Amino acid sequence: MVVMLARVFPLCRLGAGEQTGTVIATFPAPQGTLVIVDDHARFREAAGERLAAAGWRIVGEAATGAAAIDLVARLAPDVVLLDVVLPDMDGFAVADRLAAAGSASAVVLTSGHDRRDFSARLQSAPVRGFLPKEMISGPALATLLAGDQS
Amino acid sequence: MSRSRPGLPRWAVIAAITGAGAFAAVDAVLEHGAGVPWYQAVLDALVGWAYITGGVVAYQARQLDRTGTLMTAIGVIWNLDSVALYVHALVPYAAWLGNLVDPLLAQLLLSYPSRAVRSRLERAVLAAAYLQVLVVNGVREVFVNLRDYIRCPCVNSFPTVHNPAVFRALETELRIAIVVIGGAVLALVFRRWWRSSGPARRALNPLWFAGLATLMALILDDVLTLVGLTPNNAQAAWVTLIRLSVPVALLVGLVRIRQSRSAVADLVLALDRAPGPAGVQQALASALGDPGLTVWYWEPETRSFVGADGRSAAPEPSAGRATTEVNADGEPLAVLVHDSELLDQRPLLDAVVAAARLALENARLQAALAAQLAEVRASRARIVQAGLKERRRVERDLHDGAQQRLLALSLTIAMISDRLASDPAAGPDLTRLADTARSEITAAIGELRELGRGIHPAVLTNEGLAAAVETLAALAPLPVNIQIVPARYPPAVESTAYFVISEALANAARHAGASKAEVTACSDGTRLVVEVRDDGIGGVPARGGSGLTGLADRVAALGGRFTVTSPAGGGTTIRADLPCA
Repeated sequence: MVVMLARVFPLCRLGAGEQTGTVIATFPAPQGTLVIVDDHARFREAAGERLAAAGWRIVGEAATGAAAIDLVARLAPDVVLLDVVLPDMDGFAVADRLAAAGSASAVVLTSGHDRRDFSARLQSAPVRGFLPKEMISGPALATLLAGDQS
Repeated sequence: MSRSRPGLPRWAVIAAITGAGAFAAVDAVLEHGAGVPWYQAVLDALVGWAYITGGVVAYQARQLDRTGTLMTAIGVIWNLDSVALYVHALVPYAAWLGNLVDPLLAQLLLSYPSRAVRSRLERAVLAAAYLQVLVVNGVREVFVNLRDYIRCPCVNSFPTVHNPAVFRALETELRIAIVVIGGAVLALVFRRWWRSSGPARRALNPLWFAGLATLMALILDDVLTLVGLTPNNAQAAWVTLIRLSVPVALLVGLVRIRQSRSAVADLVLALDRAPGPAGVQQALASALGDPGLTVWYWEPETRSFVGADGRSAAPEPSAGRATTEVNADGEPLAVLVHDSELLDQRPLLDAVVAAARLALENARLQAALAAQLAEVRASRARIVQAGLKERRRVERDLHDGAQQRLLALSLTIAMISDRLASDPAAGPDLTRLADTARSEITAAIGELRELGRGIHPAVLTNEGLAAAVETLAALAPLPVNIQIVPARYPPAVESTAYFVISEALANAARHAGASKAEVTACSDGTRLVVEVRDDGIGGVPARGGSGLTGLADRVAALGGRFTVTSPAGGGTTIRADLPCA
């Protein structure tokens, strides 16, 4: 596992771009901790801002499947927002590996593709649900997690 | 030489040969009885029999008429000479005409194989030879008492003027004439052999050499006598033995020609079945008796030789192998790589090549055409595959690039919208503008997503044909019954099958007025057969519209079959049968 691939940066970013490190942001979090996995930095930024605004504490970000598995193992976040299309392996494979490693984090898949493009695999994957990328918001995530738990 | 003349009847040939053989046996016994040493008697009998046999066989072969006739004449006259040894009444005629065998042999060699003696010089030399025998040899007898000369109980048939001095002078003149005329004939025969074209010379070699050897033996025999050496029995036997070589050589040549002709006849039959490049190679190998023979066809475009399988490679020379190049109209056609011993059978090789030239030309064209067709098929498949790959790439780029930016932007706009909604200071106009921007961008993302799906559906890459068709059916405006076993196939096969189904469903909904459709896909592991059936109005032409033609081309490019069954009023069935290899 290549730890250095994990791209984690403090939420309260000073200046542009992404930094490599393992600094974990601290932010009062009524909602819980979250790791965002996506290979697009700009998307991680936008989604992170929106969910942070809704009270989620973004404890880490990863750009690849391998980095995500490593990061989730170390941080054990409440939720992993996981993009389906990743450069090294797809989101379903990452979810399978996390489940196999005994991770307790709730995995929510997200994608720019339509839900129907993965419908068959979504049914059998060890994930809590699927959220289209443009639908990502605090309430939508909370609804999905609550709905799934009930 | 007339090819239309029928050959001698078989029984006549056999009768002539066996009759001459029986005569030779009796002749040998009688000659020995008349005091001739047994080896000379046997050789004399053999020469007569061999010349008659060779002549009859050559005549019967319908190839060497003139040679056959002359050779038979030599045999008959030779026998006449022999018979005179014990039938003494013939001695005057044998002593006169027996020597005709030598001018006849000269004529045979100068007219061999089939041409008349045309050159003025050759005619003059031959005329001199006949003149010596018919005139000088005959006049000579006038001056001698045959009883003394040959020491036999015989009488002169002509009035004689006994004069040993004139007789000896004429005899010396005859011997000198034999040397001079013989030398001239030797030179002329050698010139003929030298001037004959390559393959012909090789075909006729045995008889040329035998003839030259015989001429030299006769000349040497006379030279030795002229310089004073008394002819002895052994010397005469050697000359007789060498005389035998001419008919033997002729028979050997005929057997070789016959073998070549039967091999060539078989080859012509084999090539008549238009066997293709590999078949031509096999036919040539069998005709020439060389199983390792290979044929390399000239490929004018690449200016190189290609093998029977169409693959390009230069024929490699190696020990014991020789190459024979076949040309047509000055251009190389093919090259045969064969056992170098076949070069000793040049007539056969030349005949086989001549017989196979047309087939080789056809085979070369076939090999070239097959290579081109294979290349065209391969390039068509490559073009289609490249097109499909390109569509997947465009879809991925669209998704990874512009769409991701729009998605991030939509989230940012959503945040702005949220903030404005919760900010009492923000005006209602600003909130409305932010909401409009948010719904616009959501619509743009949706359109982009549909665009990507049309270029190449992600679900096809992600989950395969069954899931992709489910998605198609969900979007279709008519109910679709799907029977597809979830399984994965090569990307090009999945894409082509998907586009066939997509186009067929679109046709069913848009043009056929169908109320429902059915999609099936089944595979035996080597082929995927997809079929779309609707209950619409039918009547779709098999190559109607660019949509169906494009599908047919794509299916064909993958080596598959595309069929449209659409009777008027009977619905439409579109079927694609795709190889999965």
